[in-house]
Amino acid sequence: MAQNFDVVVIGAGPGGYVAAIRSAQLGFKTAVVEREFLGGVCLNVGCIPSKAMITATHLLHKAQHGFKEMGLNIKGGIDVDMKQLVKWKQSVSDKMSGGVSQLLKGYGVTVLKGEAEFKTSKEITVKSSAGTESVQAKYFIVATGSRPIEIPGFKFDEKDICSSTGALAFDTIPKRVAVIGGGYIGLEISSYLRKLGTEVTVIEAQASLLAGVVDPDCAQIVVRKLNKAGVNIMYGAKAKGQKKVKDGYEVTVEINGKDEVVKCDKILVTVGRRPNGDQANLKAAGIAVDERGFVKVDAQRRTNVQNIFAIGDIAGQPMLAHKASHEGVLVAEVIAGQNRVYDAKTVPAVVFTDPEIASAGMTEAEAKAKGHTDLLVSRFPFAANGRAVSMMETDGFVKMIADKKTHVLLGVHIVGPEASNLISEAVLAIEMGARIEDLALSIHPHPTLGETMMEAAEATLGHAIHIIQKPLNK
Amino acid sequence: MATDVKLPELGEGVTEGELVKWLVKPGDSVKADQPIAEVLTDKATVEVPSPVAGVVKDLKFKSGDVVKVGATMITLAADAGSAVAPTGAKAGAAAPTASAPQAAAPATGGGKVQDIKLPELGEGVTEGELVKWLVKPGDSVKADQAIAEVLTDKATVEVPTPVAGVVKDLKFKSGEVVKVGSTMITLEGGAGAAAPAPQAPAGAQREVPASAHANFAAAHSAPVQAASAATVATGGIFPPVADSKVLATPATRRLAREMGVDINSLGGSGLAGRVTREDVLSAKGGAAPVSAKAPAAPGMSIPKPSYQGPAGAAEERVPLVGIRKKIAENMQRSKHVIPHFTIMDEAKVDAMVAMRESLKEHAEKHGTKITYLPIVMKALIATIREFPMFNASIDDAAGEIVYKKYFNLGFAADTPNGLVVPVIKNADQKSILEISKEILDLSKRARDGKLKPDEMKGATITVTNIGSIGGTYATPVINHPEVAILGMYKIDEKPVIKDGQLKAIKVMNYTMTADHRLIDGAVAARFLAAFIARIENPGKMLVELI
Repeated sequence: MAQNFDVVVIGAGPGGYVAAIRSAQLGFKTAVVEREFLGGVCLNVGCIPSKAMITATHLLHKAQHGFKEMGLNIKGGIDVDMKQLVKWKQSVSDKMSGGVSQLLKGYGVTVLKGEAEFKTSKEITVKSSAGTESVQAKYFIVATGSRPIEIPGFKFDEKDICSSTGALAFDTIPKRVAVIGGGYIGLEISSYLRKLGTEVTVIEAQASLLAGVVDPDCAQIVVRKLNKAGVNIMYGAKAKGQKKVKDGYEVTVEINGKDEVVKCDKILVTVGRRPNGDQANLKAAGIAVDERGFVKVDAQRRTNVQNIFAIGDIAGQPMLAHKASHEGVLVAEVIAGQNRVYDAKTVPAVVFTDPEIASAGMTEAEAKAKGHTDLLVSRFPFAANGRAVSMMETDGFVKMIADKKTHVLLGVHIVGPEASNLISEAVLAIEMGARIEDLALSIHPHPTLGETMMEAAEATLGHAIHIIQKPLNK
Repeated sequence: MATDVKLPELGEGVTEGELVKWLVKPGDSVKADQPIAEVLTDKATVEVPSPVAGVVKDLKFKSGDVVKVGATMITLAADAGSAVAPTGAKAGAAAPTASAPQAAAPATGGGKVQDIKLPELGEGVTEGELVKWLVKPGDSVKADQAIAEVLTDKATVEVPTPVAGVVKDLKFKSGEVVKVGSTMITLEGGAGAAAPAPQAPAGAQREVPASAHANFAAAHSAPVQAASAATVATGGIFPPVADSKVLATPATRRLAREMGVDINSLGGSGLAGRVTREDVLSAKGGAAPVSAKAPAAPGMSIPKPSYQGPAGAAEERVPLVGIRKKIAENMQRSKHVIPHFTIMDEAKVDAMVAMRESLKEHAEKHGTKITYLPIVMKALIATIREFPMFNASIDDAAGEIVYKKYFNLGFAADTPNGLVVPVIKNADQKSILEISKEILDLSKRARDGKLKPDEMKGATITVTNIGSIGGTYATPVINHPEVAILGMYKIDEKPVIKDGQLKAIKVMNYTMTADHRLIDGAVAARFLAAFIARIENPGKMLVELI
């Protein structure tokens, strides 16, 4: 006998569980199907555990490099207990995942453990070790996410040849790691491994790191810091293969037409993620998937099948948790008959490198492409901010881009301490259609990093207080 | 120091009032609590006091204007001599030099690639559904050649290209909704045209519902989901506007969507051209469905309740689009605005039947045939001359009744696509034969979906005839902004006793549905009686013909 629901969400990641909770809030009889863990990649093997590792190693680095100057002496040095660090990291994930479980229970959402497969557009089967059961629903929300891309010759074993999942589970500090792919996942892990003392070599096919992902000026600051920390970066380099040798692995890298060998103990492959469009038997429901594996959706995140929606990584770029959560709420409300569409001006992007990079809105190039021929562009350095100096974190700046004619804020790019937190102000400002005067005239508390937002806005107008400005953009 | 005096809260749930008259004028000194204006709200006239003393500088509204609670009514200066800064509202209005940042540069005439846009298709028509393409990439087209069929309002229209060239790119698929002004195809000038169109110009993106995806792709370098996610923007759902040139906060964008206002069509009154909450609210008021000039203007706030059925395989969902969507909106608008009532009666039509029989041959000689509809139309026109309010409209926005001295008669036509109302223009100046011919022609083209938008606009009153299908009486819905609709039903035989003899006579039922705001029940009854008198005695009608 099949179970019946109003809404069934397939996948309990940051899109899926949010969609399930919102559906339940709206009065629908809701179930969520999850094959692995509540909270998905984000809570278990992605955002949250990596931030736990980043936080710990950031403190370690500060203790090693800043404390002495501040007059703080640690007797006997700092010892890293890697097993305890990984255990703590896991406890953070478990706490978050447990929280999701509590929320789902609190809202009366049925959690079905197992692997979902469509049978028709109105029915799925859920397979688990306990057997197979049939589940019917009026509406389905596909939130099956994405997985790391494997490259030829580097099959994941998640012990020595790893995706981010394996790297986050290292319980000893690796001596030498080759990181294939200089995107944000690779660099986040590279940053913290280096702080643990690992020798890191980044193998990047393009001529720059974070190419096309963030503002190039911001990327430059991070690259400088990686270089300073002793991370070896190979540009224009292509990993061709690897072989196991006595003391680890040898990765063959083609660079400028010549082969070079990188010796390492672990190989981390972070060249991107692919949507799971080939899973859950979407075809049986008649759901159209494009050649890259993304489910085709409209502005309400409805697929070509009327009663089925798709959200999160499976529904298109950018593959970011906060975009998935936003879509989860949106879709539940569409199902409830509300007139909602995906109508965000910007999806902020954050890279948790050292220092952090965060951006919202357009880059200069994008603004020009969109017809904003005259721009006001400013940069305000963290070195001129009292709080940043007192934190000993002065690398980076806030960059603002505004339309010269209307003074409407078009984009904000931050590289520096707490960029991830500071960017929210920019998101709000862009969504509200703020002018740079709006940011400049809002009183920001002192002494905080937030003042850099106000001063960057003032800088676009040519009169930031804490830097000596030459007339800008004149 | 200037003080803005605003319309205060006037009662629970009262959001606005009509300014009846000012009790002060510029230059007057007023004391605190002195009444400054009379405002009519709901059903009571209220005196609005000034909360502070000062000298009246500026009256912001005229008598008859509707003032929203919280809106500034007057500005008071501290004393007559002080130079008072203009109010914030005025400063704000003056500032935006934000002429739309850059109107997407149209393809220049001299260039090799031309964007062909969906032209204006008629008054109030903002979009159309692409029925089919008449050309394909690679085709050579001449100027004025039809390139596509577009279903708009209630008619299918052929869209011509204004220039010649070779079709390069079709921008929409059949079934998609195309907004007026959006690029439909690109044409390449002549042979050897070089520069291919770069990406869609910024202006076009605004029209393409998938632009949000394009934005992501651009912002995050991996252009994975190209603009393939063609949105099925159906029903009252407006496509996302975040990526358009319109500047508005998320809450305002949502409000516009919920109110059925196309935010892209609004000029923003805020700083840097922002569309404000007030702009949306006033667009809602301004585009009210009651303006006689724009009867079909979108903007009606139609409730959108959801329907949750038993589901399963017992139901099927299809988008509410095209003519059916339009009919649904029009019917709802009409019933929402007009208090309908219907009066019914029966006419003895032996004489009219005999007249039509006698004219059949004559009509055939003139290449047409005569139905009852044109005869009924003539009787209707003659009766309207006696009762002109049946050929009127109410302009709610202006608070006026508009009496029309011309007679454009709509007639409801049943087509495979749904109800359509073609219009016989200036029917009073046409003979019964001419009207017959026109009815046959319009009906056929209505069935084929080939009517032009103009042929369905401007009716002053409508006749609906469901006699050929069945039913004795109905309560038809008035075709807003008209104020009446005449229904005619099938001719039947009925036994009567006349001179002591049982006799069969022919009868036909008529209904008159009227707008009770303008037409009283007794007037409608008199109208219908006068009309039936003409139907029963066609000779009387003929002698009245001008």
